[in-house]
Amino acid sequence: MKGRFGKWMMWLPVCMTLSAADAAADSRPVLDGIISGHIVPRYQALEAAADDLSKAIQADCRDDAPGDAGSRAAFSSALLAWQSIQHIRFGPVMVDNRHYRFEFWPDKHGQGARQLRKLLAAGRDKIPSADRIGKSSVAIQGFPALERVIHGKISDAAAACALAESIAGNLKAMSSDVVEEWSSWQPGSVPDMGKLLARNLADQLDVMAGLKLARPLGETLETARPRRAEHWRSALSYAALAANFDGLHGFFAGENSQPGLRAWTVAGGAPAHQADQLAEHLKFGSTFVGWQKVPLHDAVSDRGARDKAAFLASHVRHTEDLVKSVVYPALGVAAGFNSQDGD
Amino acid sequence: MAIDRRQFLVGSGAVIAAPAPGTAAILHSSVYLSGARTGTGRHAAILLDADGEIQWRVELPDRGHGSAFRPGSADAVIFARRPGTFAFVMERSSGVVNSVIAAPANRHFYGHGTYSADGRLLFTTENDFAEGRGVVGVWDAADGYARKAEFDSGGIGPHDIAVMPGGRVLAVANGGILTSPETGRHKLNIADMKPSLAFVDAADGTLISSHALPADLHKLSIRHMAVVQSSAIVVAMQYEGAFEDRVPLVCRYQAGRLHLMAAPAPVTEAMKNYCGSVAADSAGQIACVTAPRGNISTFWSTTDGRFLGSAGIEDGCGVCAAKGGGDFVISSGTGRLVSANPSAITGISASHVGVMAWDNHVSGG
Repeated sequence: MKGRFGKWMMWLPVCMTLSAADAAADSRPVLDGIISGHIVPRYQALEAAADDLSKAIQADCRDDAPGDAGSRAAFSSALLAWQSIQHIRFGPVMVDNRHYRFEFWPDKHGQGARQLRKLLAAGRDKIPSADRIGKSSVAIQGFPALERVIHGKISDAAAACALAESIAGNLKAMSSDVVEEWSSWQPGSVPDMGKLLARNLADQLDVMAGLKLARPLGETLETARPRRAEHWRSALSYAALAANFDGLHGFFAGENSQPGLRAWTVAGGAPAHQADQLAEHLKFGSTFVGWQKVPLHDAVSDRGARDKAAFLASHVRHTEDLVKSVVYPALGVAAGFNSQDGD
Repeated sequence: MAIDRRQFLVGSGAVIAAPAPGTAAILHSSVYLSGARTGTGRHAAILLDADGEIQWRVELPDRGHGSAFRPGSADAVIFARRPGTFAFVMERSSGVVNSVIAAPANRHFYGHGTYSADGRLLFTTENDFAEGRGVVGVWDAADGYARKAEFDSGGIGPHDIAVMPGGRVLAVANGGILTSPETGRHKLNIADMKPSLAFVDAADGTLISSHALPADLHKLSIRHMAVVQSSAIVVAMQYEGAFEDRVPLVCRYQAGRLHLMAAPAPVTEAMKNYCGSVAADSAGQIACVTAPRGNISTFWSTTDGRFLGSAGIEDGCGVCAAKGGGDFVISSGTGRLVSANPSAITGISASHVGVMAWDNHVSGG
């Protein structure tokens, strides 16, 4: 009896230090794991894919064919590499507007189309270099602009080639810079970083449900807007969503033998089975997308396939709710009425 | 730096313990109007007396935002939060709804408006979302709130609006952020946003002048303003740039220029790149800027821009002048109502805690 009591006394101070705040302070190894196991490898994959893309476009452009199969395949790989790390909205990717420069979307007022038309009309000699395109409008230097050149109708192939090479060169330069800058990036306070990561997770799900799915779906079959689907030109809308889920799963569950946000969430007091449920939701998202045969931009106005896209939208919203009910409290994200979303 | 909400930090660094909430009412004689989420999850406009007791409540179809009292009249108005399309005009003594203003087709409200100095006209900030253009709507309060005119706000995403002393000029805080009802509250142009403080002629909308911060601060959204008699304006901002950045969040317009106002680094850090609201005191000498994400409210001199101190108030956002010089009423999403000045904080009413969530802004009348 005495022995057991003594043991209990020994454990008491240990238990008392395991408050949520201390759990967060002890989460520096998890933060480091998310960076070294998830963020940096995914940006490295993007860098490699952007390099391949740049080379594929150069190869196809020897025959003045910027939209050939090699370029299109490399575009798909690079775009999906980007989509799988799109949820990170802090650190080097936010420096110099890079996140918007990788992908300015939705382009509600068609700035990209207008500016690209003007640029291409000026002819090959007037096309800016990769470096100069990186300093021009965000609407003409990222994946959506390149998609228009590679998958759109082009009259001046020489100009289109020069532009595609410049945009791809800029994407490669940006991804190299992001990888490089991560090596010297210093986090802020660890608890603040936890809140930020939790918000990045929920915000990405919000973008997926609201912009990528609900917006093309419209309210009804009759009001569906196929061209509001992200990357409809390359028919990669669903693939992009699968990459989003895949990236979020790696972010949350951990990858490359490193922990993810799940470990932090459980350390902050969330029940493990709820955290596991969230991980399963993220995994199921990409599995479900993989089952789809009709491209999203066709599915939204197809009586049979539309229901599946609508189901996916509600699945994403449900997953977002899980983040807010499981991850937010564990990481101390304030549920303050006025601090939730600004105005 | 975490700031205990029971601590009150004065500029000198002295710490004074706050009295428990719910202590005796202090000297206010006005009424206060605020939007709220009620205990049952509905949205309402609520008029409070000086003791923080509810005089009346009016149910709203959705979340309210800013409000205003009409000079020389019994009217009080509350505006829908963006991208809402309604504004309710209520009788301040009874809460009887006299008019419901609907935004015209292809326009939605941004949540703020102001009456002309003589009370004849109501000006509202609006989004012409087909064109992505900021608009000031003009309504004839003397003619049943008929739509009278509209003009350019001088930028994208107009938010707060105020009449300058003299009554002939409107100041508009153009937040610079493009949104559209069809994409909800998603921000569509952060990379190239260009916020501005614009002055327009209240009679015909002519743009008189427009003021922007240095280009490297173009992601500081100019959102809320407090105008003082000297025609100085204290501007409370929200930063849309990188999470890691630390930038000044308050500036002052004076003598034709915007002047950034710096707080001590730990205060800037605590404000979390986001200001919720701003008000000037009754004497026009002191401004209070709330930062609900950081659970901190800050005090500043309107005359020279000096930082005077801060108070820890959880989710404190709504702020307006109280009767005494330097005194403010601050409302919180937790339901708390406090009176604060740069050296003391006093609970006004604790009876709404856990029931009402006071929404972003409170107006005194």
